Amino acid sequence: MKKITFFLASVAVAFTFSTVAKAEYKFNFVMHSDTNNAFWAAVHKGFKDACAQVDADCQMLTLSGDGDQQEQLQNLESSIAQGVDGIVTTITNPTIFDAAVDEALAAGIPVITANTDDPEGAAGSNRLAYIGQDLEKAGYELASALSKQFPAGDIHVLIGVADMNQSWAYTRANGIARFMDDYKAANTDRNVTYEKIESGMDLSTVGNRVAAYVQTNPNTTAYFDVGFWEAGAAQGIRNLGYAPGQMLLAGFDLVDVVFEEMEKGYVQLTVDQQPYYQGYMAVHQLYLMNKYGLSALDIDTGKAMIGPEDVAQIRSFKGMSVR
Amino acid sequence: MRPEISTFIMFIVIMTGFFIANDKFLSARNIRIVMGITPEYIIVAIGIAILMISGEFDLSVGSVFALVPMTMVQLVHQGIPPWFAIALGLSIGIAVGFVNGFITLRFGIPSFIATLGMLYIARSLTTVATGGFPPPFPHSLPNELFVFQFEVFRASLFWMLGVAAIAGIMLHRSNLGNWIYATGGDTGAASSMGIKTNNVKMFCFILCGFLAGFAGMIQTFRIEAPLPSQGYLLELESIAAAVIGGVSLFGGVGTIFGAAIGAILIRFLESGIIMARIDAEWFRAGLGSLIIISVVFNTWVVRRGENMVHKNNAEEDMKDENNTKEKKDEA
Repeated sequence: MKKITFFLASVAVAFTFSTVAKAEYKFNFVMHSDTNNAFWAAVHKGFKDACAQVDADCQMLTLSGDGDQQEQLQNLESSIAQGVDGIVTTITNPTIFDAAVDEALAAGIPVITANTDDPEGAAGSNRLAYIGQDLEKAGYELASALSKQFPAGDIHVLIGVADMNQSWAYTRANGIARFMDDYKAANTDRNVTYEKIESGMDLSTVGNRVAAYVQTNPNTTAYFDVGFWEAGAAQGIRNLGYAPGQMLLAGFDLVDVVFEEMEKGYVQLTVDQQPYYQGYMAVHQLYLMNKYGLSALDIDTGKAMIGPEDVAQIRSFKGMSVR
Repeated sequence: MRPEISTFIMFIVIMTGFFIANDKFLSARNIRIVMGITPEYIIVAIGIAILMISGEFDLSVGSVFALVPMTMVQLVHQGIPPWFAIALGLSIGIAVGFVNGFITLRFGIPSFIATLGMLYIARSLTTVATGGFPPPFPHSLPNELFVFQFEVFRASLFWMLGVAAIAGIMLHRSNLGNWIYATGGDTGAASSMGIKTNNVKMFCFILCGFLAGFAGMIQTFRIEAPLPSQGYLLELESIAAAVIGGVSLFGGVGTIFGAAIGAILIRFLESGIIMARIDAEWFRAGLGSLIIISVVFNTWVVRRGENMVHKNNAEEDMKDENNTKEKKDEA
């Protein structure tokens, strides 16, 4: 009994020593994914690098389950209770985070969103600024850029909405769909159609679902993914015997598996939202707001279209976990 | 020492540790946050604990936790009166519990498998029920009655206390409770004593499904949004809570108080790890380690208790033997 009590006391003491904060400011990043999602590595790196530069005590709060909004809300509320000096969060649901954001602001804790904003932007949440991609616009422009590679004749597009319940996912999908509506209106002589499916959030699930879909809809011209899981779709259609480029694939974000599929010729286009900025600029803004009372500002971290020709250059930065 | 008492001691030690790490851990604001969530998880843990005491598992509670409130919300959107929608929604929880019990008992398969299947089925039905996109929360539902904020507590705390009191009386003060313990302890022996063990187990399955749905409803009412992802991994967490609180994985042993303390401990652990500013990469490792440490601690305390009882019994036996011997000698 004594040994166990001693052990537990030691654990408690270890916690204390490990957490004595000497930093001037404490910032938390409350995000909507688990630690296994490859995309977030660059956001995290930007967040940590900026924290080291301004000597802030920073904590990235991930989820046990990717996209579990209740858990994310709890993390947001815990951050407020911690009395941190600033919070960066993603807003993946139009309503459930509103009260917590207001509570933080009332407690004098500045809140800015990064990566994913309220679908209505500043009208839907009192957060002070948004650092990230304009999700709907990026979806529109991705579809617009890929449409230049559409073959002649009828077009049928499949839009993979990773998770129908995540606002970042359906907002991007809405942008893609809006372009397809415009494209249809501009091409009245051709039969232009599209369909949305819930495609999933891991490579094998997306691969299976897309492969199943194209077997029953062999006329599918292109597949858009709202994440980077078009790489999974590439694997799926390759297994079905599709040649590179036989079906066009496009999605979001720069991760290794997408580059590999681009080099093989299966993925034509991806959008870079420069996630490093989303972690990095958020911390610098919070720091300057606390230190000098500067106000927060929106930053559009980009919608650069990346094709196979850009892969070699981008890969040269890859070992740094920045892109 | 009883296992739930050792869990309680452990709870105090851990609370003290986290309080030292960050004095805001026990601030009114943080207590309010944790106690806003905890009743929901305790209610599920109570259902799981009773079912485990009867010797069965339910892995579908996390999915039922999402399916029941989603059903209620969609029914209200279809124009069904709110209270009727609540009743229909809760009956879905009961129905899932019944199906779990029926499959397990009728086909004689492990409840682990039957309810694992139901985990997937109920989660899938939840997504189907969303109709593609999560519906808005209908404010005609009487959510304030269940989640009204009163200082640091919510109304859900009182609902939870009500559930715990009824479940406690049922389990510890009624014939039904005795049957549940007997069924879980040794089903064969219980049957030969005339206990209808299948009926007892079926009741526990249904109760577990009902409580999971009821707790899910409270969560949806609290955050005012029906989320299909709600209750993800809750099944494992509830079993962990029950086991931490001294409920045996093999049936026949455990208390409502223990399961409740286990659930509270997990919620405060989660909050404490965040408050102690432990890095994200270590979050789950920390939670996992603390779960293991608490169960090891529990088991150690129970074994030590048993050894002491054996030792005392052995000493008493020896004394008895000596006394008998002395008496014989005297004779």
